[in-house]
Amino acid sequence: MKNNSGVLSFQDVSLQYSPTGPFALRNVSFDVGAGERVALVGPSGSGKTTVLSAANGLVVPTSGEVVVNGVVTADLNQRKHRSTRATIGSVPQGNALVGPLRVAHNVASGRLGQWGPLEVLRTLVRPRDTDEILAVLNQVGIGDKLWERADNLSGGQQQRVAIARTLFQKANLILADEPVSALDPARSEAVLELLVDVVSSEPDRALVTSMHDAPLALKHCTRIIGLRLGVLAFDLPADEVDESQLDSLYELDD
Amino acid sequence: MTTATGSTRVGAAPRPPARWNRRVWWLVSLVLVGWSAQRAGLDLTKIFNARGASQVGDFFKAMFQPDLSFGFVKLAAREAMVTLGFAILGTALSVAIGMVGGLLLTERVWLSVSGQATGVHWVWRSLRFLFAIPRAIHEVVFGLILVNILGLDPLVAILAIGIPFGAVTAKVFAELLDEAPRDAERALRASGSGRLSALVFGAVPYALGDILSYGFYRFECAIRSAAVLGLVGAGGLGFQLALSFQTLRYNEMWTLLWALILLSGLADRWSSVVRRRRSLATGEMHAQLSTSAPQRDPVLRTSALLFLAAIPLAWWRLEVDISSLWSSRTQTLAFLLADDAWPPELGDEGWSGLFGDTVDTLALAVLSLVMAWSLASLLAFIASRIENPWSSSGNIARSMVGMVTRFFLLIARSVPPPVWAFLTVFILKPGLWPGVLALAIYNLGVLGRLQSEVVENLDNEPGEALAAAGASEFGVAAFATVPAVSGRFVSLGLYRWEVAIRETVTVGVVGAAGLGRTIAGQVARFDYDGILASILALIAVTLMVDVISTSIRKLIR
Repeated sequence: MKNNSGVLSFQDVSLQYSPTGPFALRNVSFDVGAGERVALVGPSGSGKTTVLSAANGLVVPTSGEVVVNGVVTADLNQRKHRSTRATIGSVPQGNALVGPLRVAHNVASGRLGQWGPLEVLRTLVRPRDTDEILAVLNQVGIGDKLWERADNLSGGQQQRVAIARTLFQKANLILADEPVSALDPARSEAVLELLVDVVSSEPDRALVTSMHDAPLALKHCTRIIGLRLGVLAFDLPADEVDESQLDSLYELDD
Repeated sequence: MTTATGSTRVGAAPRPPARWNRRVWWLVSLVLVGWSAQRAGLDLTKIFNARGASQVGDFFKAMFQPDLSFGFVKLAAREAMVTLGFAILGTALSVAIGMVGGLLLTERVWLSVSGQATGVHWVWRSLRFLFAIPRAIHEVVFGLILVNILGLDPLVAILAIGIPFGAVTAKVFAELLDEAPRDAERALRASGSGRLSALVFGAVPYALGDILSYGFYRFECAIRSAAVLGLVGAGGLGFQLALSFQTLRYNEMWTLLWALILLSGLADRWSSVVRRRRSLATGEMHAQLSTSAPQRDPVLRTSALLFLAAIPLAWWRLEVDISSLWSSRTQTLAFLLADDAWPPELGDEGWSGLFGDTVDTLALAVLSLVMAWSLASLLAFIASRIENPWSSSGNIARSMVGMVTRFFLLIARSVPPPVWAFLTVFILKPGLWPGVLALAIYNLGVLGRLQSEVVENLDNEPGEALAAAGASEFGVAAFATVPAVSGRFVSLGLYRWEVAIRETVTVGVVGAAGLGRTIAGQVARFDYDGILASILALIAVTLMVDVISTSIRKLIR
């Protein structure tokens, strides 16, 4: 039950979305330790997003175990599940901020998992820890947007707010699902560099991100996990991955 | 606190800037509501009338004992077909008017190729004003007047629905067309095509899907209008309802009301299935082109074909004879009526009478809408069809409660406002309140549906991100759902305010209050110059509210 070595561990995980449906994941195992930056690469439908959802406990494996910070997520009840999730920060593809709220509220929403209803309502009126929120916003380079409406921000700035939210949340496992797929190349670089900075700023943090752009993954991550049709194809340090492995991952079947 | 990587300025955060616009508008709204309540009277002993409660109880007891004798059910079915026919032909007319009017009302058709205003820009402005006038007049007013010209002819209901709905449709179509990309049209214009043909070839294809699906929203509204028009004598379910309610036969009334609820429920369902596939999912609130929706949508296409096929059927079933529009009798009556009506004349009480009625109308609309909107904003979450997809506690109880709420909202909007007014006068003393309550119940039904559609069409991603970080269902609701819907709720409410002004007429005709009551009295006395004066006042107050609500909606966006 306890596994102290890693931040995230998949142990022989298989997953079907419906009992008779195809396997979205088949016998996937890997461990992610503190300080690692892992990129999940593979073609569409290879199971990258499913791995991230399973790590977050949003979908439950059909067999096998997902362990987050030493806790097996499948056995948890609703309340314990929330407290585990509170240690997981997520940076989605984009469009994950609450548009009509200000940036400050969006950052503050990272701690919703730790608050009771009264504190939630209080924060909706006016966040309490504005100095801390400003500090994390400065860290991601947009301190001047503190009181801006979130939907007035550009795509790159919105991703920065999402990252600031995980910082404010003090999450130690950051899951990012195609965090830069909606951005142009220059902004993709900048946002990924920021993610790398954020993850390496604390020794206990780890990043797991899905990316369809293999060169970007190789450049910014320490470890690459290749997925194809829900099966783990390879799991190597970034500097040991070569062209042919990536090519075989993406080749068409027919 | 996290240690920073680069250079981090640690300092005190500035205070949030105040949003004065918003505060001022909230204050203005509060004053307006307070003033309206003052106008209607707040002395509870003068509002409630406990003695009428047993009548209302009898009415609702009959709900479960409708008259199911074979003869009456047959009659109800026949009359339901008539109401349906009115709605189909009225919608068809309004879409036809909307298609032509929509092309003329687009701004771009009056602009030069490069998008500059040309010398004829004033034509566009006057056309827009011209179309705003029928929009300001409720179907019932058209119905009351047309009955006096055409007699008991199905054309009364068809025209009374088609003309005002056509004007609204034209406005929405024009907005949709103006949002379509301009490049294609510009290229056609540049190669010598005429203005209208460039618009038809270059812009209509982008907007056609949305235009058609909007037509289905109009159909849903037309069913309810057709029922109300029946109550003022046009025929169909509404007419039978009026007959049964004059003799207080509640069981018969409920047979007819159940038929109406069924009809209305089916039309609503059809319309939302068609519209859900488009961005027009929230009805008429904002015309915004759906760019992602497929242009060839099989559901939309089949529905449109079905509707087209229904037009000749309805025509034949209602035995519509279009020649009565220009028969000599119609011409004479129309001429006499116009001659009588001009110049408009004030009633016995002069300007102050007209002014008082107008102010009553405004207060009636404000109060009924605030009541309906507040309750609808809560019920919308319960009535919405979607479970919180990120919660695992979706259960049968929740969906049962949702179903019951939706059914309650369906009844609230299917029963015509005059029938609600007939009930509220039992328990409330005469004055504004019976009308307020009747319209509030009706608008609750309409707004509850539109607002729950807003909830259903909500983008889930922000909420999912919060749930993924451990937020509770309450946290997700407070931080993601409510902020995301509140802006749209407010604009729906403001939009509905314009509509509510017009709708005051529907409770006025049964004697509630405001300009509607005055107009109904004047129709009964054939006082046509008085009617014209009242209608002009109604148009003025509707246009005023239109301007205010549009500018607030722009400000808060």
